[in-house]
Amino acid sequence: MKKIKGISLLVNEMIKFFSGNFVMILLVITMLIAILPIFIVYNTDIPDDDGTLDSVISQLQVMGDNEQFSTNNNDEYNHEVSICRYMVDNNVLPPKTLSISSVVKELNIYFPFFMIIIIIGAGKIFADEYTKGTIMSYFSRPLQRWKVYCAKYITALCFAITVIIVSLIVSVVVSGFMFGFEGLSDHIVYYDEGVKCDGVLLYVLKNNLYNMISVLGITSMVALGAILLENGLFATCIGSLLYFMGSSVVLNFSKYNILKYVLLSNVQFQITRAGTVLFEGMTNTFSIVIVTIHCVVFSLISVILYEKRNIG
Amino acid sequence: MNTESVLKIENLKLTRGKKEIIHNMSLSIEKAQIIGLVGPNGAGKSTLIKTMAGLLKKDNGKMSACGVDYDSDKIEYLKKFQFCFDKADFYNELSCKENLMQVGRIFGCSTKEIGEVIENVGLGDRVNDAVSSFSFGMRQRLNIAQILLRRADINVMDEPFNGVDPEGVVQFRESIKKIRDELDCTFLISSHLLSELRTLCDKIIFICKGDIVDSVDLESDEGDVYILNTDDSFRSFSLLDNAHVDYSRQKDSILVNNDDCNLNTILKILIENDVVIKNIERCNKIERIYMELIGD
Repeated sequence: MKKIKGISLLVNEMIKFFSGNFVMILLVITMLIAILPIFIVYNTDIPDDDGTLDSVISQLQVMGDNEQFSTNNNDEYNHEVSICRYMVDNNVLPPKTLSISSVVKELNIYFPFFMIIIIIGAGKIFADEYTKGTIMSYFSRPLQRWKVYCAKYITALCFAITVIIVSLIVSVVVSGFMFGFEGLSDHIVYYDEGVKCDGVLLYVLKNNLYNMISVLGITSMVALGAILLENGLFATCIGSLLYFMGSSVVLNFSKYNILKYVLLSNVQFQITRAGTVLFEGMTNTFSIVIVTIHCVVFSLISVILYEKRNIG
Repeated sequence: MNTESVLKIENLKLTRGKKEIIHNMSLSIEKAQIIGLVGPNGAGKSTLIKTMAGLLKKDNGKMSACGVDYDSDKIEYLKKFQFCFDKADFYNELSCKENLMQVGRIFGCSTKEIGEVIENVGLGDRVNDAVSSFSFGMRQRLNIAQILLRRADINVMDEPFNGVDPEGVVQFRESIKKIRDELDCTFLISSHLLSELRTLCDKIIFICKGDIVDSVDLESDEGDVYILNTDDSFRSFSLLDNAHVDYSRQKDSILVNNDDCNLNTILKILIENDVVIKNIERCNKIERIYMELIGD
C-alpha cells in the first residue's frame, strides 16, 4: 500500500471545511464587517483643508494648545505628535478622508472582529469530527494523527487568510468604486516602534503579517480548546472571550511583570504597534517570540491529546 | 477453507476508570470467514472493536492482524482493517462521491475506481447527492462501497443492521457474502440480530462481561439443541454419566446437541430406568446461549 501523503489529508480537510454552507455564512459576515469602515468614513465630517498639510499643522497646534493633551503626556499623544511632525517635516500629505487609504487604515482597527470569525472557523475545523461522531471512523484509519492535526491547522490558517483577503478585496473594491482608486498610491504614516511611512499596499501587507502572527497563536489556542473539550462552541466562546478580555484582565495585574510572557498579552498587535504596551520592554519581536513559543507548546499538547486520549 | 489466522488477540485487558471492561480476552479469526459477535448490551462488543481500532488504549495483551503486531507498527496494523461504526461514518454535508473520495485520496484510489464502486453498490443515480439525504439502507450501501474501495483484509462492522429495512438487510447480507468470496477477506460483524447473523456468518462468538464465553461454528454445527426436562433431574444426570453419553446440563435440564442418534440413546436410557420425560424442546443453540447470557 502507498504511503499516505499529508497533502491528501490537507485536501480532505479543505474540502470538508470549505464545501459547507457554514463557511459561506462566515464569509458573508466578513464582507459586511469589511464594508462598515467605508460607511463610517463616508459619514465623517470633512474639513475644508482635508488631505493637505495645513490640516496636519492645525492638528499639531490643537494638540499643543490643548492643556489636557500637553499635561497628560501619554504615549498615544506623543506618538500622534510624532506622526504629525514627520508629515510636516517630510512633506507627506495625509490621506483624504474619503479615500481607499483612509478605509484601509480604518479596516485594521476592525481586525478583532475578523479574529472572531477566524476563531469560529478554527473551532469548527477541530471540533466538528467530535460533535458529529466521525472522529471514530477517521482515527481508525491508518493515519498519523500529528499529520491530521497539521492538516487541520493549515486549513484553519487558510481560512484566516481567506477572511483577511476577502475583507481587503471588499473594502478596496467598494471604497475604490465610491471614492476612486487613486488613493492606492497614497502613503500612510503610522507609529510602529518609531514613525514609519509606507505605501498603502506595503502598509496593508505589514499589518496583515502581524495579524497572521496573532492568528497563529490564537488558532493553536482554539485548537487545543476544541480538542480538549471536544466541543467547537465552547472552544469558540472561550477563545473569543480570552482574545477580547485577555489583555484587559492582564492589564489589571500589570504589577506582575511575569504576565508579559502570557499569550494574551502579546496577540493584539494593533494595540502594541500603536505604542500602547501592557508591560515595559514589550516589543514586536518579543511578542512574536512569545506567540511562537505558545503556538508550539499548544500544538504539542494538542497532538499528544490526539495520540493518547481514548476516543468513543 | 483456509485456516490461516488473520486476526489474533491474546490476553487483551482494558479498564476504564476502575471498571475492567475486557478481561484477558483471547480470540483468533481465520481468513475469509464471516464472524458474528454477539452479546447483551454492555458486554464489551463495541469496546472490543474500538480497542482493535486503536481508539481505546488497552492495558495489556497483544493484537495482531495478518502478522502485523499492533504495538510494533500501529499504522501497518490499521492498514489491514476497514472499520464501520454504528454511528456516523460519513460527512453528511458532503456528497456520496466526495465521501468516498475522502477515503480514496488517503488510500490512493483513482476517481475511476470510485465511480465503478458507486455504480456497483447501486448509488450511481445519487452520486452527487449529500449523504444527509440518504436512508439507513443507502448509508449501508455506502459502507459496502468503502469496503470495496479499501479491499482491506479484515472488515469490522459494529451493528450494521441498525435501522436498515428488511430488503436492505437482504441486500447487505448478499453483498457481504459476495465480497468475501471475491476478495477473500474476513468480516467481523457485531449485531443483536441473531437470525441475520445465523444466515450470514460462518461462526458466532458470544461475548459477555468483557470475555468470550462461547462460540458456535455454524459450518460444522447445525446450531440446534434438544432440551429435556425429567421428573428427577439428579437421577437422570447420574444415569447418563454412568452410560458415558454426550450431553450437557443447564440447571435441571439435559441439553443434547442436534444429533438424533445421541438423542435416541439418551431417551432409551431414561425410559428404561423409569424416568418420566416431562418435556422435550428443540431449541436454536445460538438463541439458547444468548438467552443464557441475558439470564446471567
